[in-house]
Amino acid sequence: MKNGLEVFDFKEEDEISELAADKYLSKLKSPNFDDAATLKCQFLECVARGAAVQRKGMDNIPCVDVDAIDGDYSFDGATTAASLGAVEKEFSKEGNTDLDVSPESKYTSSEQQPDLQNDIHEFELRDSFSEAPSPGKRQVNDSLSNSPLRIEPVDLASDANESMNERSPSSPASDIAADNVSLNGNMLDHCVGNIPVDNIDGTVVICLDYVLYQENCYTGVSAIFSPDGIKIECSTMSDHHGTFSFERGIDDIISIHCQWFQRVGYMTVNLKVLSKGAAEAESECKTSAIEELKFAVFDPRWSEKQEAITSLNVKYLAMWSTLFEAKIFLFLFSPLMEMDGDDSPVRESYFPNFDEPFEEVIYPKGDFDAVSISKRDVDLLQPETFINDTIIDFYTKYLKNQIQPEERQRFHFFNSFFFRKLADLDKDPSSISDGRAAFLRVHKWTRKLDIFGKDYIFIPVNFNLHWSLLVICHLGEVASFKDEDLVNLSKVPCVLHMDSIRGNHAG
Amino acid sequence: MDMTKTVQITLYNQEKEEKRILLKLNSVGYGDEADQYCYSISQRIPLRDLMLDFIKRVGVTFNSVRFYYEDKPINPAFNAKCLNMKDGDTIAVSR
Repeated sequence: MKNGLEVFDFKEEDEISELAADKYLSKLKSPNFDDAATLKCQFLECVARGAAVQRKGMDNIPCVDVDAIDGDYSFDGATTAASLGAVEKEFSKEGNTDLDVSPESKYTSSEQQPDLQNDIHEFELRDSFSEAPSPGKRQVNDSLSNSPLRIEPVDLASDANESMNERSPSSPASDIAADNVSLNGNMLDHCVGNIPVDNIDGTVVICLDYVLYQENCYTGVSAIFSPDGIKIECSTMSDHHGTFSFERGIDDIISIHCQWFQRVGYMTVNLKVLSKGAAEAESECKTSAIEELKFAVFDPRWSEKQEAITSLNVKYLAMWSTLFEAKIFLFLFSPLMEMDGDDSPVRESYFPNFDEPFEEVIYPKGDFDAVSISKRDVDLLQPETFINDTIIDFYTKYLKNQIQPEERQRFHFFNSFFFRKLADLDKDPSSISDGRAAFLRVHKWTRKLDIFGKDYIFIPVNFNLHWSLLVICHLGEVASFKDEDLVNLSKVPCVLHMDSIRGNHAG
Repeated sequence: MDMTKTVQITLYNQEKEEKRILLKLNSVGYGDEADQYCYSISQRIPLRDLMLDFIKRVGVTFNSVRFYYEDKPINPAFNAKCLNMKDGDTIAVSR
């Protein structure tokens, strides 16, 4: 055993490995430990137990010699947590394992593992819990902290990832967690395996996909929310930014903006914080008083976490805002129109007599020329169907409403009927070129507005079964426009035809 | 456009007679089947009735035609009154 004595410095890690082992124990009892939910539940149950055991263990005189089986056992527990699994690898290199199973096979066959070892080791583990602070686990910490492992963390992590994926494909976040643990022994304080810890001392740990902070991107990060503040740390192995740690008291946090992509279980969070005090300001922060930190979480069960975090301290709740994924996305692609929020389009059914019942969505609600979209229109968004004018009109309206109200004056959106009316194609194709007749058909359209005052005019065009867009830029400049100004004029009047298919319209 | 034949349809509420206005239809973008219809309609009857009547006569589905008054699509629940339609106004029909 190398560095046997140093082992005792890592009490927190001891505790964690205890927990991991304990967790494993409870997992063994559950036939369904692939299920992340069950896992978490069980884990929470056994946290208290583990802690109690740990305290007991601490009081005893630590035992230095290694019970390999025992150690192996706790490592098995850690196959969830990649780090400990990695240590297991280390262990088997040292030849301490009685059961000579190669690490790889353990990773991949970890589901069978319990069957092999369960019966044998459960007793021993219990023994070690009650009689001595399980030496094997101390050894784990030992080799972890003295890490030859650090040289090859990536491999280990990926090994772990594989096994993780095999076992619980439904919780990719756990992979990240696992990475964290294997990359940084200290992370064990906060992450046990793939379970973000709702710890005894009331913190919520989230393993993050990535963190953007001061123009640097960090991966393998975890965030710890506690009642007093937030702490984010990692050790970046791949980049040269060195380790990254970020800690703010709750009073420093200005706001937390979340965007939640339900479908993919993805969460992006925007954190605005006050810069840290003078001492760290030089090294860590830039001059601006407000900093921004972004991170992303891949976690299908985010909402629970969020609840847990906000329940830590009411202040979180106050600064927390969640934006559901862009409405247009939901709106257009959800046939059921699952909308929530106050400003969402409201279902209204205007045609009770129709042979098939369908729901209308009016957008923008209450407007004089609102577009009403039926289920049938939404169905046109399917592949290999043709979009109709309702969809186009809806989308122009939607875009228009996205423009800031003060900016809105600069733009004018014609509806899809304008071009049809202007060209009025079928009646007399030869009249297409007859500008005056065409003009007379639509000259009343803009009598109420100053069309020359608009910077951009948008005209959706449907011709030959194909949609395209005409953009008229800076129409008002035409009057004063001279060719020689072309070079130094910022506003050049022109007409753009945006067409996804190369070709041209006769109109 | 030669005035061959025009069908005038009257839509009104039997219980409560109101002032009626005449609305012409005008095909835009296809044929001229709408041009032969005009509607004498009570101002407070929702224009939905006009639309439904029209599509039955022409034999198309509701979703395949569009009705515009001036440059705006007509909300079927609105009536002539709330759209400020005047006697002799034209509804554009497109599909």
